[in-house]
Amino acid sequence: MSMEPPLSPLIAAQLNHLLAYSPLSVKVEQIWAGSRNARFSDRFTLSIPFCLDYVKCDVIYDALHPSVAPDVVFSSEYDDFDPLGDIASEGEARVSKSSLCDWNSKDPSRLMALVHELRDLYMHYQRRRVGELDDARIKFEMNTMLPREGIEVCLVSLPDRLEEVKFAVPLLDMDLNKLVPACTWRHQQKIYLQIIFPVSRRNSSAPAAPRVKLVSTSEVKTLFSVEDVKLPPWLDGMCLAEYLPAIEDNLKLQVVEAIASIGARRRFIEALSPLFGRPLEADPVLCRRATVLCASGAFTFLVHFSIPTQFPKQQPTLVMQSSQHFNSQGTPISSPLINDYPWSPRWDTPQMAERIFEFLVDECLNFKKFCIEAIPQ
Amino acid sequence: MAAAAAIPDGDGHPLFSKISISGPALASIIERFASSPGDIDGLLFGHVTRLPPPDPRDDDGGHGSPNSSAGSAAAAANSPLAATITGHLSLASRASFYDALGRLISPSLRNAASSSGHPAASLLGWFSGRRRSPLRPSMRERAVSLSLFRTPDLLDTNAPPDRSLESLDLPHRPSIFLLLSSSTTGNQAVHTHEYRAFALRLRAGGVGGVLEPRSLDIVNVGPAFRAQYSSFSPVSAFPWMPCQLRGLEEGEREMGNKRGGGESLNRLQELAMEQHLLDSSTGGFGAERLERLVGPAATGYTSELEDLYGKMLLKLESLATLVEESSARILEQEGRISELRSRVEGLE
Repeated sequence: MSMEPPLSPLIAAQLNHLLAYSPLSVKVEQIWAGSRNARFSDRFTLSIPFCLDYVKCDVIYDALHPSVAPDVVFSSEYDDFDPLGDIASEGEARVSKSSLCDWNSKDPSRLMALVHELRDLYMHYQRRRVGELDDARIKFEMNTMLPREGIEVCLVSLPDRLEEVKFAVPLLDMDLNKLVPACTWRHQQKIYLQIIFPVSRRNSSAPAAPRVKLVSTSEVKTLFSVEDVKLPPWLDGMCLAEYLPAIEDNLKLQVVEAIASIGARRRFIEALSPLFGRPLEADPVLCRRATVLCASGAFTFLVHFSIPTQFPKQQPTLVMQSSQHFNSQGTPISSPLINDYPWSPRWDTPQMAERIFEFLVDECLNFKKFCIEAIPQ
Repeated sequence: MAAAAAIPDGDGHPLFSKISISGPALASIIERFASSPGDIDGLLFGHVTRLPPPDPRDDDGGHGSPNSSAGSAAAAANSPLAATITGHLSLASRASFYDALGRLISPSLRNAASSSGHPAASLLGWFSGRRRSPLRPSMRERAVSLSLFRTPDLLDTNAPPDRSLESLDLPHRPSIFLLLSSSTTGNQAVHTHEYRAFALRLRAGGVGGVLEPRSLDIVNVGPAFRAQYSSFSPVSAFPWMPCQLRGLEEGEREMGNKRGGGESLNRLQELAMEQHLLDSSTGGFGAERLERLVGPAATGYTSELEDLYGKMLLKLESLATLVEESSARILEQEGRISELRSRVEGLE
C-alpha cells in the first residue's frame, strides 16, 4: 500500500472541525484517495458512536470537485437504512432544513452538521425497527422508557435468525465533568446501563431475563471502576422502570465516594513530600499516580505509587526502579509490584506515608541486592 | 425464482427478472471509467423484451384457471421482463442531473438524454463509477434511483420515438442501477474493475425503495448467444437501392406501365434523391467510369485506378488534418476548463 496523499484543504477543514468540536467522540479509521495519481485524498471511514457501539460509514468526497456535497456508504448490516428517503418522506419543509440542502463547501461546520443529522436519522431508524417487533415485553419497555432523555435503542441480529434489542440508558443526572475538580476530559462523560433483551420467538414460553451491564468510557474508569459495582438481580416479571431507581441510588453513593477518594489521594500525595521530598511527577487531576526519588547511601532509585480508585480501602501499589542498574537492553531494572506491605485504612494520612517510608527503608536493601544480581556480567 | 420476480411491485410496475448487457457496452463503460481522472456517472439505454411466460401451475388460484383465455392473457401480461442494456451516456461532469439530496434536476437530465442520440423511451437506468469504494449503493445513489423511477414522463421530448425500436419496447420505468468500482495496486501493475447491477424495488408501504443486487448477463459473440444475434435487425443510414443495371429510363418505363403517372413522378423524385446520396458516397466515380474498366475500354485501366486511389487518399488526408486540429483544440479547451475549475474550487 503506497502512502496516501493529504486531504484536500476544504475537506480537511471540515473533518478537523468535526473532530475538534463534535460532542460525540467520532473516530477516523482510514483516509484514502479515490482518483489516480491524485494530489489530494478525498474519502475516509468514520466510526460514529451509537448505542454503546460504533456505526461505520465511508464518506466519499470528490477531490476533483471538492465543492460537491459528500456521499455516504453505510456498512452492509444497515442496508435498509435510507436516510435521504426518510428526509424526503417528511415533506418539503424537512428537506429544506437538511444540511445537504445548499451545501457550502467553504463552511467547515458542514460535515459535522451532516454527521449529526445522519446519526439522528439512524436513531429514528433503529427505534422504528425495534417498534415493529412483535414482542409484548419490548413494546412495553419502549413505551415506558423512550421519554427518558438520551436513551438509545437498537436491534442486533445474531446468527441463527435470533435477534436482540439493546437499550443504552444514561444513568445519574449529574455532570461528572463538573464534579471532578480541574477536569480535562474533552467529551461529556456518562455512565450507561446496557440492557440486552432477547426477542422472544412466537409460541415461546416466558421471556428470558435480559443481560444487564454497566458501561463507561476509559476516562470514567480512571475515576471509578464500573465493573466493581454489584448490580441487583433482575427478578422475573420486572421491567426497566422498576429496575433503574434501585441501581441509580446505589451508583450515586459510589460515585460520590469515588469523587471523595480523589481528595484522599491528593492528601496522601501531599503527605509523601515531608518524608520523600517533592514528587518528581504526580497526576494532578485524579491523583492516581505519583513518583518520588529516594536514596539509600549511594543507591538512588525511584518509587512509583499507583493509587487505586478505592483508596484508602485499598493500599497503593509500589514499584521501585533503580537509577543505576540497567539490563542488557539498557532499560532500568524495576522491582515486581509490591502491595503486601503493612496497611490499615484507619490510619491517618501522615501515618500511611510514614509506614510506607519505614517499609521502604528495609525493602530497598533487598531491591539493591536484586539489582546487582540482575545485572548481566 | 423467475415467477416470483414477475409479480408487480407496489406501484403495479413489473420488475425486470433478467438484466443483460452487451459485451461492448459494458467494456465501453469500464473503458470510460478507467480513462477518466475521477469518478463518473451517466445514463443507461437499451430495450425491454418479454420472456416466455413461466409454466402454468395447476394451483394458480390468483389468475383463475390457466386454461381459460382470460387466465392465459393475465399470465402473458405477468410474464417476466428482460432488460438489455445496449448503450450508455457518460456525463461530462459528475452529479450534473441530481442534487446532494438525490433529487433530479429535470432540465439537465432531459438535455443530456436528448443529446445522447438514444430514444428517450429506451432509458433503462443509470450508472455510477467511484474508485476505491465499497460496491454497495450509497445513500444518494439510492435516492437518485428512486427519483428516476418515480418520474415517468420525465423524458417526454417532442421528438417522435424511433419506429424501428418501438415494436421492441414495452412500457417500463428506469429502475436499473449499475455500480462500478476500480482500484490499482501501488505500482500500477494490477488494475481491478468490479461492477454490480441493482434493480429498484419499491417497499411494501410505497415509502422508499430498495436496491436489490441482481446478476448481470453479458451478451457476447459465441454459440451460446446465437439467438440474440439472429433476432437483431440492423438499422443503417444507407438507402435501399433497387438493382438498376439497365439504366434509369428503362426501369422508369417499366414502372410507369405498372402504376399511375403521379406515383411514378414521386418514385422518380425518390430515385433521384437516392442516386444523389449514392453519388456523394462514390466521390464522382460513377457507374459510367466503372464501365470503362471492363471490356475493350480497359486500356485506360491503370490510370483510372490511380485516379481513384489518389482521390481517396486526398479525402483521407483532409479528414486526418481535421481530426488533428479538433483534437488539439479540445485538449486546449480541457486544460483551460481544469484551470478555471481549480480556481473556482479554491485549490490554487
